[in-house]
Amino acid sequence: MNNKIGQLFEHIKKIRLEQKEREEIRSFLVSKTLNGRHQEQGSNILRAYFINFYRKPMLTLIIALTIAIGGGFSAAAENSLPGDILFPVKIKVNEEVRSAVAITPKAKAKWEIKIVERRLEEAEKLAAKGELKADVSAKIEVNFKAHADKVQKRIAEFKAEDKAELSSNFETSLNAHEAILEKLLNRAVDGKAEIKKIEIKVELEAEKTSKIRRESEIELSEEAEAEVKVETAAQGRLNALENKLDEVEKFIKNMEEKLGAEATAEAKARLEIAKATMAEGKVKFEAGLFGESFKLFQQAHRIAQEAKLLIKAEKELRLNLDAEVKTENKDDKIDLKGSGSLEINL
Amino acid sequence: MIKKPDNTEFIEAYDKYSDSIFRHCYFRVFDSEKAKEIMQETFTRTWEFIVNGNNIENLRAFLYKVANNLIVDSTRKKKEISLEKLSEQGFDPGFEDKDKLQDIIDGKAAIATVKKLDAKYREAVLMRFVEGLSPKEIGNILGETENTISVRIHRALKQLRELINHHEQ
Repeated sequence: MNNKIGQLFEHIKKIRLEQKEREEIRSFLVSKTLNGRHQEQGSNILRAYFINFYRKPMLTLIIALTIAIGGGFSAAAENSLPGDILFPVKIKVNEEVRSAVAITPKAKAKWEIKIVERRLEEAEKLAAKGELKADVSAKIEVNFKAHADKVQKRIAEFKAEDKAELSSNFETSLNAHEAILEKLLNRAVDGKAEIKKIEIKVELEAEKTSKIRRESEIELSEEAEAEVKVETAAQGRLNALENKLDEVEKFIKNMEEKLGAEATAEAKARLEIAKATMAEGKVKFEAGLFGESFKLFQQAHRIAQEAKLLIKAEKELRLNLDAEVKTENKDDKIDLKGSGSLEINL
Repeated sequence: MIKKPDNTEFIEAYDKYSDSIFRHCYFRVFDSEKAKEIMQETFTRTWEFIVNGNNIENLRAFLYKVANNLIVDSTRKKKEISLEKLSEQGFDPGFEDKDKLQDIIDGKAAIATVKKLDAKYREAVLMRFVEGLSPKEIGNILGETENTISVRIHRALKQLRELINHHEQ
């Protein structure tokens, strides 16, 4: 084996977890395994939950079975919406379990963003069915705000590069959901006020996040010391972007076969814009303007992600179907697929 | 009276192998957040296995097998879940802040090179020369014959030579 290959492997051997993160996981494992103990995640939550439900034995039985089968995580609850029997399991057990699995600060931040997305998706599904009532909608708003605040708090703790990335991802998501809510608003016969209220909250949060994103991008490009740091960050973003564009392109192609050309036209147009933006970014990169290129790669990434989320929403909510086809919508039935194995969805 | 397993050996295994498992996961999923989560889950599940009264002959090999199953699960679930954000293939491997800039640059270049290998060759050659497992052990972990592994390693080295030479022209 020649010297250069040997060096390659030596460099790769240096890749490892950060000391702090390694220790965190170690402590977690030590406490979990002390004296041969094996603690169930979420067991305390379950206890508190069952106390509330002692009056409804049937309910308790269903939930106990679901949780027992899922080992603390209920796959059946994942598709539930506010007002469903299993919904409390979704937020009090499933989401707790997944919170615990996210150890690193970045993973925690991403998971908080995911929770916000889940609340919005639930609201959208209810609105699409015409079932978004005032009381449920009010709860969703409160929950949305609480988790959005948590997201902002976490994002604020990162350095410029991660801050830019996380706020960009959050912003994209919020913008996409705002667009979806707008479409639902137009399509809705009644219950418009509830949808509008949520849409406004989402819009405000998106604006807030956009500001943070722009500020951190400025901060990033102004970091004088690390010309190289910004370059590698921009390079990194470009690599992620190229993968993303590939992914989205394939996805659109796939979806076009299923949903037709009209449903994917808008997404295709966005993808073209994303590609053009990437090209622009590459020009800046070649010219050594790494901060600028980073911003452009972020932008292209956002646009590509928007394209994808829009199609997904179309698919999930059948927004482009004619009104007549409203009768039997298979996607709205709750899927009671119980999982038989001890799985935690990463 | 059920004997409660003592965790000393398990934690020792963590100290010895956690970096290795993390790195192994990283070169499959190319996402350091995900690799961390999978690594933690690998050890958690291994502990569950132990605590349920099972005996593990070769702890190190077992850890790799669990990790590989989790990696396969996670890539499969990516395709099943709808309306969920897919993980990005980011370029952010694990480095400590105090690492020299040059090391970081070299490391990232090494990753970029290795990424270009065929997945099966990459897996075999990294397990051999970075994690230090023998072809026989690798075969045991992956469920392949020792010969198959040797062939993959040989081809990986050939591809690496070509990649490095090409890069230098």
